[in-house]
Amino acid sequence: MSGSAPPLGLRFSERAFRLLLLLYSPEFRRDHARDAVELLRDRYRDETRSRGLIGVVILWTRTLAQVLVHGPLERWEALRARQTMHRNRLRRPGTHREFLGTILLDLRYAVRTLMRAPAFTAISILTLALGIGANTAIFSVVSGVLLRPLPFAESEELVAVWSRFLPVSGFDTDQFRISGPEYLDYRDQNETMEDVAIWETFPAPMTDGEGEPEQLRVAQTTPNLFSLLRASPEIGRTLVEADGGPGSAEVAVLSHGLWQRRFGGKEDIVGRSLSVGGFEVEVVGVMQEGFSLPNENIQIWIAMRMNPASSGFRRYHPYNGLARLAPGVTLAAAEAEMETLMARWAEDYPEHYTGHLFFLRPLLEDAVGSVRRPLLLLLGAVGFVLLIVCANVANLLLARGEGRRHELAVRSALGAGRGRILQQLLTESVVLATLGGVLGLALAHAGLRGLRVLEAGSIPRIDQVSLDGPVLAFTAGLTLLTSLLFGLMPTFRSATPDLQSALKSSARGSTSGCRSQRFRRFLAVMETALSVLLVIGAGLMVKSFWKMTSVDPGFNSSDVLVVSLSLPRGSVGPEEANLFYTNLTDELGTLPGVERVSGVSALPLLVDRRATVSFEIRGEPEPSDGAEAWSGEFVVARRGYFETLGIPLLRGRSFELADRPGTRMATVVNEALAEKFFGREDPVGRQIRWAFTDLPWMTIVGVVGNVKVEGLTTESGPAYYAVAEQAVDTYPSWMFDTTVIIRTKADPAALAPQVRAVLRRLDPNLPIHGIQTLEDVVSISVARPRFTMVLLGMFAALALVLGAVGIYGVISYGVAQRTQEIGIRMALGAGRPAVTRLVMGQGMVLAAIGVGVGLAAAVVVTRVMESQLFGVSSRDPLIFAGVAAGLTVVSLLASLVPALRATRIHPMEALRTE
Amino acid sequence: MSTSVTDRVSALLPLKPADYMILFVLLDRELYGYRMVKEIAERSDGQIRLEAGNLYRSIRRMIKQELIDESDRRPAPESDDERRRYYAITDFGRRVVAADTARMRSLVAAVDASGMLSDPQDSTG
Repeated sequence: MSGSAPPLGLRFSERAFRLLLLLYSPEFRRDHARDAVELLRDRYRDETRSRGLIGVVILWTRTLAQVLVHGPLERWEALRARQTMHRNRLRRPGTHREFLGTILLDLRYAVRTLMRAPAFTAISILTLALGIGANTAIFSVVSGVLLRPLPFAESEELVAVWSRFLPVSGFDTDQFRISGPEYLDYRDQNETMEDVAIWETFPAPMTDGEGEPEQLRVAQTTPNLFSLLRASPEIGRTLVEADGGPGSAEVAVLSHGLWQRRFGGKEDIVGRSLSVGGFEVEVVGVMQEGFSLPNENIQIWIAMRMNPASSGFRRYHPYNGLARLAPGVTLAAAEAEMETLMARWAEDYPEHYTGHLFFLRPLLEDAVGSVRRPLLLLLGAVGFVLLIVCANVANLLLARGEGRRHELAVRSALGAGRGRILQQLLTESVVLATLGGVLGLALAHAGLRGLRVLEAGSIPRIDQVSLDGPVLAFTAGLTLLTSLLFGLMPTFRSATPDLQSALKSSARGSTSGCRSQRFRRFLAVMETALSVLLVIGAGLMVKSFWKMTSVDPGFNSSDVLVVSLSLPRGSVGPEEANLFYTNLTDELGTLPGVERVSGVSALPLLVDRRATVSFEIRGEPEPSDGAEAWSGEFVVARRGYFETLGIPLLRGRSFELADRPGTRMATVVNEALAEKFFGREDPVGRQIRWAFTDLPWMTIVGVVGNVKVEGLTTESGPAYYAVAEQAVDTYPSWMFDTTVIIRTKADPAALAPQVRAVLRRLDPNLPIHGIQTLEDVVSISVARPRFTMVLLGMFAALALVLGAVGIYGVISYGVAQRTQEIGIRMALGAGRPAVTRLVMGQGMVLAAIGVGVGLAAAVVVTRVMESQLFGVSSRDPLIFAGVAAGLTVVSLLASLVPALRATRIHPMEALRTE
Repeated sequence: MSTSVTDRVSALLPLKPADYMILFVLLDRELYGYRMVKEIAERSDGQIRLEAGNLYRSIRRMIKQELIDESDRRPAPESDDERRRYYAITDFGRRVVAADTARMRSLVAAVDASGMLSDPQDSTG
């Protein structure tokens, strides 16, 4: 055996499990408790080794469920066996219903007792409900999002295939899509994958079927995607290999939702021809309900023809990749193979694979990896809240236990054994916790709705979240655990009444009272410490969020309405598209209340598929091998774009009317590009063009400020803009998707109906997708940090209130106990200030210890938040100091009330009661 | 009232899957709790998973039924951990697990012979 102490989680698990073993008979515990704990310990180590934290959660869920069922059953069996033995020995009439009978009796007694103290009962149940409800809601999110396997057969074999660009390649992206030739190479050369598939998604309008024209999310995919996922259709068939062959018909598979919504779920959809983005496709099948790629809401899948002749450029990376590990192959083996392949590629095509490589990631992690930390953080926080809740209710029970010492002493004197009284008191705790648990479930149900609103699309798989079996089991276990936690500690004290002193009419100041007061002080200190911890956590998140939202995005987001449009590529040409947008912006410009209108191919913070294109500079030698290539985001803007968004012009000029087709092509670059590639030199007048092409040179006519495109916290990279009028011939495929930007004089949202009407008039078949204000776009881009912040804030507020109530309870109980002492002091001449000092001093000592412990814990614990914070250290001194001061003030106020009450004690009355 | 061994065996049949697996993994050697859990999970292809909450209840009952017993025999000292309690199958336990296996075997044979569940041509894979 190693000499080091077991980890905290294991020690806690062992202790909790020992408590749970109380559900079994004493005989069982005597014979097997040690072995059972030993087994739990081994299993715990197994699970942490193989599956980490998730394994522990699974182990505990299973263990809890088993203990809750088998414990009482075992006890019941043991009791029956004992009674049978008894009967056989004494030949006495059987009392085998005794056990159930006493439970019923206890239940009835518990309910009666609790009803006699409605205030205590209501406060306890409400407190418990808040704690259990918050835990249930957060756990349901963790369970649905992180724990539940993806809805595919053997989903653990699925891996996402991504590429990565290191700075030496001229680009710098941790995760990027892959190209057609790369796909074919990888598919043919690997020996560790059963199959590899790719797909590309894009928006396309559809007018077939019922309802308004709709913008669909289309995935064009290699047909093997379906066999790879082992997915079967609801009706018809999925895509098959032949659909991707040369000369095959254009075929499509619909999602269940689209089929139900637009085609009424009629089976004759199979064989029908639809127009998607202006292209004709034949429907061959409909997928089952719930089938979707992770994080994609695709409504229609179209077969992709992918062969060496049609695979496109090696430099063009539009595809998402997905693979299934061959039977018996581990991820590590596939990764090792990938390393070998990449080394080979780098030798074969050094111009492509210097600093550009592939990597694999398990699909579930790929889908939810980014939310794992925030969710586990919240689960931890909400666990702390539950601890505070338990401490609080334990405190209440203790105070009540003191009041009931007389009653318990009487029962004990009448012959009730210690076990019997313990059982009675535990029954009360279980009743309280169960009621709290039921109410908590209702709160969790309501809370989940709130969470869905709050997450605003920032939590993947949130649709999988529900209060299902595992969550209910968790809540049941949590309720029981809670009742043991808050119920056992005080009951051990109450159940050993000091008969003599309790039966005397006055038992104030007895030793058992002292002991329990000490215990209550400990609870209050713990609550304060946990509150400090939670409030610091929330404070850090708030400060980080504030820093994040006060970042200058580089444009002015107020009073702007945006609408994203996609024209059908199959039936509209690029010139027509340009003309449409020109007419549209002109028409919108005449609306009352509109100040300016423009458009852009990719709106900052909105469009997720951005094009980074490398370029060459006229008159400069190409960057040598190993040097960083010239590249930047390429954007097609309409005239007036910079002015409409309020992007400042730093040098030169903006796009003008003179920038027409047939004249010299103009480009505007951003500050980042100018600084990175031209340094101190003025770039205006220099010429650039897409690398590896013979497209016309573009003359740099101006430099504009940087804008945040990926997110408020991501640095802006180089970017260069072309104007739509000149782009029609040169970059025709950029003309179809445009976000129209409308700057208004007043509330932009109020203008939405008029914008909609203009669009309808110009093209009744065009789906209108997402009219929103630019401020909403910015706000949605920070939805995830806001989600974490708001929840942490709520938990912290709850903790603060409960903590204050805890201190208040302890101090005011202390005052009540010391009424005589205070009375005597006052009779002997102590003034009110002295009494106030005396009482508040006690509160302050508790608060000081609690705040100190909390601060020390926070220094360690907030480190886990580091990756979630922006622009603030996890040990921000201002937050730490502020919270310490704030908590101290709150504790001061909490003890002020009982202190004032103490000063009103009348010496004579206090003495008379003695 | 005395009962014959055969009667006692048939009174215990059919065994619960978990009980059957416990007897099964104890057939060739004595095991302690954790090894039992692992062996059972492995040999049942992960279908039967016992944990601390239910394993010892089964063990307790099976000791009373005289199917298994605590074992004094220990493996070689270097691989042993003296805290661990080992369990062994009893002769009676062996008879019961043999009887239950025979019972299932004849059941499977009867189903196969009826030909009602699977087409013989299909089952070649």
